[in-house]
Amino acid sequence: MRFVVLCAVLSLAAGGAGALEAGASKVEITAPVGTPLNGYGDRLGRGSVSKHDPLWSRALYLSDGSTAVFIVNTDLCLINPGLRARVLELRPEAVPAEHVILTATHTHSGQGAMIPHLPFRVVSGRFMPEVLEATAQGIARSMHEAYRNRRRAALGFGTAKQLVLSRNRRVKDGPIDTQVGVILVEDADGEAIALVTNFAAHPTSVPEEDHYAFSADYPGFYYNELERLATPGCVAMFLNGAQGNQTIANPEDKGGWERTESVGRLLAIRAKEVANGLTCGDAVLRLAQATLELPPTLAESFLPREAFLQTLEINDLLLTFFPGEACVEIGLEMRRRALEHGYTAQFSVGLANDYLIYFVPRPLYPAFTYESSQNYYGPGIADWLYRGFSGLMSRGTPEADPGPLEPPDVRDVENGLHIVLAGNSYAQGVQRGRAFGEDLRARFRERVVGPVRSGALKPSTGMWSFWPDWLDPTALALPAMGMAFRPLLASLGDEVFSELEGIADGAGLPFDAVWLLQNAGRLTEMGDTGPLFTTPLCTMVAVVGERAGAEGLLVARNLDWPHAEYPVIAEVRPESGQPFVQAGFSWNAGVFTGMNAAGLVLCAGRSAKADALGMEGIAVEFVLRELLQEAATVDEAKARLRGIEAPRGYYVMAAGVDKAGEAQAFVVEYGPEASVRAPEEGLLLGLSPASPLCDDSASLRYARAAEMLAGAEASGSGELADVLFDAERGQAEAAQIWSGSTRHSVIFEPLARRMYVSFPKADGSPGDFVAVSPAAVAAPVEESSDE
Amino acid sequence: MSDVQRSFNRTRKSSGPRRRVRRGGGCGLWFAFPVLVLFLVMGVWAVWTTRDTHSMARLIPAGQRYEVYVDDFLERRGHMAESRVWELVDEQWPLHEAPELLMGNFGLPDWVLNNVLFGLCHVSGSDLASFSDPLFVTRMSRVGVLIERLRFLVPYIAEDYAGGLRLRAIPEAGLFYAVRGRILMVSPARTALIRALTLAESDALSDAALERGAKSMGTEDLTCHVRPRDGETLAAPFEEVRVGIRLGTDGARLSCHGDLRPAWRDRLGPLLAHAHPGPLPAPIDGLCMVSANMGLLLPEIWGGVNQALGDEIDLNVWRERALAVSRTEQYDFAPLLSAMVAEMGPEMRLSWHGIDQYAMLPVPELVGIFEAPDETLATLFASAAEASEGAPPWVSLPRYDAEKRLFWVPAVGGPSIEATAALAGNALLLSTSRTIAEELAGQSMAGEALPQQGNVYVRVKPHASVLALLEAARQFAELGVLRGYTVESLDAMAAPWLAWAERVEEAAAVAGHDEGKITFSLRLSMRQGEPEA
Repeated sequence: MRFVVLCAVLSLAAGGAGALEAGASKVEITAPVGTPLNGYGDRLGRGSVSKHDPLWSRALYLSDGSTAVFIVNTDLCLINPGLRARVLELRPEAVPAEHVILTATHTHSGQGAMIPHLPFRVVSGRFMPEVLEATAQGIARSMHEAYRNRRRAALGFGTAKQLVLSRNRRVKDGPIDTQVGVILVEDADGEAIALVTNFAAHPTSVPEEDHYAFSADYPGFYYNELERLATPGCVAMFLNGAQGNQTIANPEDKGGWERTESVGRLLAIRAKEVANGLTCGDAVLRLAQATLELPPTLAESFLPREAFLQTLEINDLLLTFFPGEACVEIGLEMRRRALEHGYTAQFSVGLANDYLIYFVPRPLYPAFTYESSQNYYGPGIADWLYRGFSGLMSRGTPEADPGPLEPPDVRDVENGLHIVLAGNSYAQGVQRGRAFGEDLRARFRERVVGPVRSGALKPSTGMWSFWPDWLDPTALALPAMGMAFRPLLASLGDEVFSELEGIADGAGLPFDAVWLLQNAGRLTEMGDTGPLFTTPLCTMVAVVGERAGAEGLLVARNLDWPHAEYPVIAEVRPESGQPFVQAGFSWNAGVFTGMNAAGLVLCAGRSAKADALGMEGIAVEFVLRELLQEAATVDEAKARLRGIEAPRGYYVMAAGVDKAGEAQAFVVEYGPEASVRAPEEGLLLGLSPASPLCDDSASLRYARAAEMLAGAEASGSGELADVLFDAERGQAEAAQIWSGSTRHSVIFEPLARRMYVSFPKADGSPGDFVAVSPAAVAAPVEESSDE
Repeated sequence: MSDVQRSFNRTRKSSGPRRRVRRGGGCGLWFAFPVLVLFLVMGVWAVWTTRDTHSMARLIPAGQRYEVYVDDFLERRGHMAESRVWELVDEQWPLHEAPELLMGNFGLPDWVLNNVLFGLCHVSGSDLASFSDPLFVTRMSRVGVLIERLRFLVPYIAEDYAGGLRLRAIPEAGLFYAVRGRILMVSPARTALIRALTLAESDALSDAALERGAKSMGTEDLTCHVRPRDGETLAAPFEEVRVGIRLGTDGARLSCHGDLRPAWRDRLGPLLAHAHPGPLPAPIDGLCMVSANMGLLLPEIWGGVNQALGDEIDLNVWRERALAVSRTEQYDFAPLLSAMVAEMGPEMRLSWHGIDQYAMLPVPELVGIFEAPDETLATLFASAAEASEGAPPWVSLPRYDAEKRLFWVPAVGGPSIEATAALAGNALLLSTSRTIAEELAGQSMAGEALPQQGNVYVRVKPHASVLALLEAARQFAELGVLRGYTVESLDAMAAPWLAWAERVEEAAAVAGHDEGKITFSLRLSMRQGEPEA
C-alpha cells in the first residue's frame, strides 16, 4: 500500500503563547449489558446482550499557555445535548466549557439510552438517566485524568493517503476521502502522549450475529493496534471525518469481525507510519466557536434551530468540527477552501458536540438515499456550514451571507399584482419570497399543513395505521413528506432549483415547505382524500396564419383553478437566457401560463380524465419554466416537450416562431405517449374533442370556442377575448369557458411580444386586460382595454 | 398572718341574704291574678294548639319514587359544611355553594330555624326525571308551631284556601306549605301538597315504614331510597337503590344497596352466580388497583360480561382481535394465551403501576396477580419456550427461566415493554414490564386480606394518576403531536385537574353481590393539610 505524507509541520508558538502542555487518558464507559444500543433503527430499543469489546472515552488535554482545550473522543454513536451538558458540568474547571470538543466515533454498537427526546428513542432506545450519568462521569473522569497527566509536550501533524480502507457507500467508485490525518503529541522525552487519527468511514461493520453486542467497531481494533505499536502510555485517539456516505472497504477481503479488525489494524499501521515521519515541536492553538441560527426546517419539533460550530487551529492545521454527519463531498470542499486560505492541512471531524443528523451537498439533495432523506436543513446546508466555519477561521475572508439583494419591485395592476424578478434565479426567488412571504406561508398552512393536521393525508400503512386521532401527525409527517418529495427535484434544472431556494429564503420557510407547496396537487391526490386541491382545467385556443389576421399568431387561454389565489404577473429578468412573463400565483415557481422575450408562448393544462398524480413523472410546470428561459423557438420547445415523461393527462400548448421565423403553434398531449397536434385550418384547440383525454365538459368548452370562432375568416384579440369571457348559460360550470374558477385569462400576441392578462374582479366577473411585454426591461406597459 | 376559712351554707337561713318581710302587700295580687289567668289560658291554648296530633307517616304518600331521610339536620349540618369534599366541586357548579347554603338560615333567626327543622326531615317525590314534585315533611317543635301561627305578621305568606285544606303560599319562593299538628309539609308543587293532605290511610306510608327508613340511616348524614321504574335510565338494573352519604371533615363515604330486577338477575346471572361477599386480598400497590373474586375463572368472567353487555358489544370480537395480534411471524402465541387464561382465577388482582415515561414511548405499566395452578403453567411455559432454543436472545420467541420461574417474550423497546409472567405459590403474576415482574417476583404474592368484604375492590390515587398522565401527555406536546395542545396550553388545561386531584388522598370502593342484592361503598379520603404549591 502506498501512502504519502503530505505535510509534517514543525511550528513554533507565535508570540504570546507559552510552552505546550499535554496530557491524555482513556476511561472505559461501556454501559451494563441490557442497555439499548444506538445506531440502527431496526433494533427498536432492544437491550444489548453482550460486550464484544469495551467502549472508551479518550481525552487529550492541550494548552499552549493561553489556550487550553480538551479533545475528547468517545465510542458512542453521537453526542446529544443532554450528555454534552452533563459532561461540561463535570469537566475540570481549568478549561472553559466552550473549549471542550466532544466527539463520537459513531460506532453503531455503543450505548444508547441517553436521549430523552421522544423521536430519537426509537433508535437510541428508552431513556435511562443512570446510563447518561455514568457515561458522563466516565467521560469527565478521562478529562480529569488527562488534565492530571499534563506535562511539557510537543506536537506534530501530518496526513497520508489511503485508497483501500474506505469506500463510498452510495455510489460505486463514488468520491471518498483518501486522507488519513494524524496528530502526534509527545512529551519532553519523546514518548508519545497521544496519537490522534482522523479518518472518514462509518463504524458499521459489526457482524450480524453481534448486532446486540457492545463494540467500538473498527476504531476499537485501531486503538489496540496503535497502542501496541506505540510506546507504552500512548493514548490512541480517533476522530471520524466527513463520513456521511463513507464506509469501510474490505482491504484484505475478509468477512465478519476479521474485516473490522483488518481495517482497524491497517488504519493504525498507517497512522503510525505517518507519526513516525513527524517531528514534533511547540504549537499555537486557536480555538473558535459560534452558535449560529440554522436554516429553517420542517423538523423543528425535534431538531434545534441553532448549531454550535467549532474550529481548532494547531499551527497551520485546521480542524473543523461538524455537529452531525457530513457527506464526503462537504468534507472535501471544506478542505479545498481551507487549503486555499493557506492552511497546510485540514481535518473534518464529524459528530462533534451535537447531532443534527446528516449534511448532504446540494447535488445530492434530490437523491433518494438515506443520507439525503435525513438532511433536514435544506439543500443549502453545505453553504451554511462553509459560511459558518469561514467565520471562525483566522485565515481568509469570512464568507458573507448572500448579499443584500434588491428588494422586490412590486406594483398593483388591475385586480392583481405585478412583480419584477431580476438577477440570478436565486435572487429572483428571494424577491418572490419576500414579496409574497405572508401569502406563501398562508398557502403552505392551508394546502399542506392543514390536510396533514386533519389526518386527511395520513397513510394507512406502517406506523401511521396505529396513529390515534388524538395525536396530531403534523410534526412527524411533514418532515417525512419533505423527504418523500425530494426525488421530484431531480427533474429540475439548476435555475429552478436555485429559484426555489431563493423563495424559501425570501419567505423564511424551510425549502421542503416550498417544494411541498409546489406539489400540493400531487400531495392531495396521493392521499386520495378528495378534491382538496385540484389541478387546473383550462381552455386554450390558438389561431395561426391568416386565421389570426394581421397578428399572424394569437393564443388565448383561461386558467381554471378551484382555489382563491393571489393573482400575480411575474416579469422575470434572468441574468442569462430569455426574459419572460408568467401569469400565475404568488407561490408557484413553475409556469402554467407564460411567454418569453422571443415570443415563445407556453401554457399547460391538465385533463379532468388525467391519472391521479403520483411520485412519478416530471412536473410539467417546471419544464415550462426552464423552457421559457432557455428556448427561443417552437422547435426547441417541441423537442424538449416531446422528450419528457410527464404524468398522463397533461397537455401543453406552445406557440411562437420556428427556426425559419414562421409562426407556429402546436399542442403536446401526454397520454400513454407524448403526441403532437398541429392546427387545423389555422385553429388549434388545447384539447381535441376526439382526444381520449377530453372529458364531456372539456368537449363542450372546446366545441363552444370553435363555434364562436367558426364564423369569421380571421379572429383578432377582441374575438379571442369574447371566447375567453364566454359564460354560456345552461351549462355546468366545468363546461363554461369563463367560470367562477377562472383565475386568469391571457391573450398572447407572440409576434408582437405582447400579452394581455386579465384577473377576475372581486365580484367574479372578468377584469380589464393589462398589457405586459417580456421584452420590456423597464416598467410594464400598463394599458387597459375594454375587452 | 393566719388563713381564715369561711363556710357558706345556702340552707342556713342565717347565712343567706336576709329577706325583708313585706307587710300589707295584698294590693299586688289584684294585678297578678288576671295576668296569671291570662298566662294560664294562653299556656293551655299553646299546649293545645301545638299538640302532636298527626302522624308524620300518614302525610307521606307510600310508593314514592324517591325518599330522602335526614335526621337532626341542624345538628349535622356543621360537619357536613366543614367537609373538605366540597373543595372538589367546581366553582361553576351550583353545588359549590352547598357549604354556604348548609350553614345559611334561609333568612330566619337561629332560634326560629331550630324550632322549625326539628328532628327527622323527609323528602320524597314521584318524578325521578325532573324532580318537579318533592315533598318535604318534618316535625316542628311546639315553639315552631307557635311561630308559624304568627304568620300573619309576615307579609309574603299568603293564604291558599285549596278547598278547605288551608295551604299557605310563599309566591316569591315558589313554595306551598301546610301545617298539621306539629307536622310541617313544604313543596313547590301544590298538587303534591294537596295529595299528601288528602291521602287515604292505605295510600300513606306506615309509621313502621317511616321508622324503618329512618333507622336505615345508621350513621349516615343522609339516606336516599330510589325506586326506578323498569326501563328508566336512572339505576335501570335495580328495583330499589338505597344510598347513604356520610360527610366528614377529611372525606366522605357513600354506600349503596341495590336490589336487582329479575331480568337483570338473569342477564348478570353467569357473572354473579358464584359471587358472594368474601375476603379479598389487598391489591398490589399502584396508582389504580383492583382486587376481585367473582368465584369464576377469567374466561367465565369474560363470558359473563359479554352476556351482560347484550347484543351491542361482542367481547369475543375483541378476544379474536387480540389473539390475531398475538400470531406473529415468529410464533403463534394464541394457543399459549388461551391455555394460560383458561387457568386464571377466581382470585385476581390488577394494578396500574404508572407510566414508564422513559420507554420508547410512554407506556402504562400494568401488573396482575391471578390465582392459578403454577405447576400446570410451568409446564406450559417450558413447553412454549422450546421454540426459542438456539434463537438469538433478542428474537421475539417465548423464553422461560425455570429457576426463576420467569416467562417472557423479548420485545422491542426493552424490558418496560416486555410481557412477562412469573410463577410463585399458587399464583401467576403477569406484567407488561419485565423490570416490574422481576422486582415483584421476589416478593410474596399472597396479599393480606382487606378489612372490607366484597367481590370487587378498587382503589385509586388520583393525584399520582393525573401526574403520570400529564407527564406522558407533556412529552407528546413537546414533540408537537398532541392534537390541540402545546406544552403551555396542556399545563393550563391540566392545572385545575391537578389541583382537584391533589386534594384527594385516595378513593376506594368495594362492591359485592349476594342473592341478587348489590352492595357498593365508596370512601373518599382527602389529603391532610394544604395542597402543595
